[in-house]
Amino acid sequence: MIKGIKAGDILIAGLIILIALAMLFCFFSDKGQDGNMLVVSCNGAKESYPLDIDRVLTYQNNGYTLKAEIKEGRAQVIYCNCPDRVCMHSGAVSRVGQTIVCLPCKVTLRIVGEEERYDFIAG
Amino acid sequence: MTLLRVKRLCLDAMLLGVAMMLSYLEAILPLSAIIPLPGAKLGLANICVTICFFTVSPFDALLVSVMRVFLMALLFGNFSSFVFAITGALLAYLGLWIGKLARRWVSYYGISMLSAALHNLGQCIAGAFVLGSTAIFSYLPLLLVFSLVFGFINGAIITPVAKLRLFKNG
Repeated sequence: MIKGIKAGDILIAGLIILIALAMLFCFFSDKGQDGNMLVVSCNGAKESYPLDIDRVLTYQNNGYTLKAEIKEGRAQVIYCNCPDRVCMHSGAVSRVGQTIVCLPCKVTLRIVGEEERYDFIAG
Repeated sequence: MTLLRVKRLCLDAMLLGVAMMLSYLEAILPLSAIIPLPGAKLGLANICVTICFFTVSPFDALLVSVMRVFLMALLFGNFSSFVFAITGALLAYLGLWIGKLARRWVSYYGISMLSAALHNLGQCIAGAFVLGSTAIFSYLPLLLVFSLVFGFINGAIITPVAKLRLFKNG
């Protein structure tokens, strides 16, 4: 054991792990299932696209351009000129609950399953 | 008393300077290419704030923390990065207070981990507001795991530095 660690430290670490696991369970309890819709939120406005139709989506927001691609049931950010490129490094998502976020662009891409329906479907 | 005040000012300024250097170092490290998570950072600047909190005073730590966020945003950031940083910094500061109140049972390791976890929570809350979507919370579980790792590393750095007792009577 590392010197100086107290009981409260282990309690804090345990609690944080517990919270993380509980959140994982809540969000991804239906993970593993392939989703069938991609919900894109751009600056707060939500749009849904079916994953079985290939397409390229372009968003311009906050001075940045983001290109997302839906291909073979997977969604991926293929181009973004934001400074950190976290969205591009995230790779492709296809399962329910998986999310890509681009903070500078204020765009989020989220895979949802059958049961989650949104107000309108664009495209 | 005058000497004490001058020393306190110097310590605060020095810690602020070091905190800004560490923030800058973090910003140029290509960490986001290795860990593709928004907001996964080492949180090195929090080392300075924690040391300030426990060796100078909580009030000085708040000043150092807010000034660092403000100056970094002014120099390198924009408004939305400021919102993220300030929410995270304030929640991390709250974590330090919890740590101070429970000082008998927790060491710098626990305090650092708690404050890192709260920092990430703050960033997610800010993210939800900025994006207008709660999708960002799906990153939180992973961010919490990283906060444990980085918090622990920071604790290991803080423990010996705090023992130096930078602020020993005048």
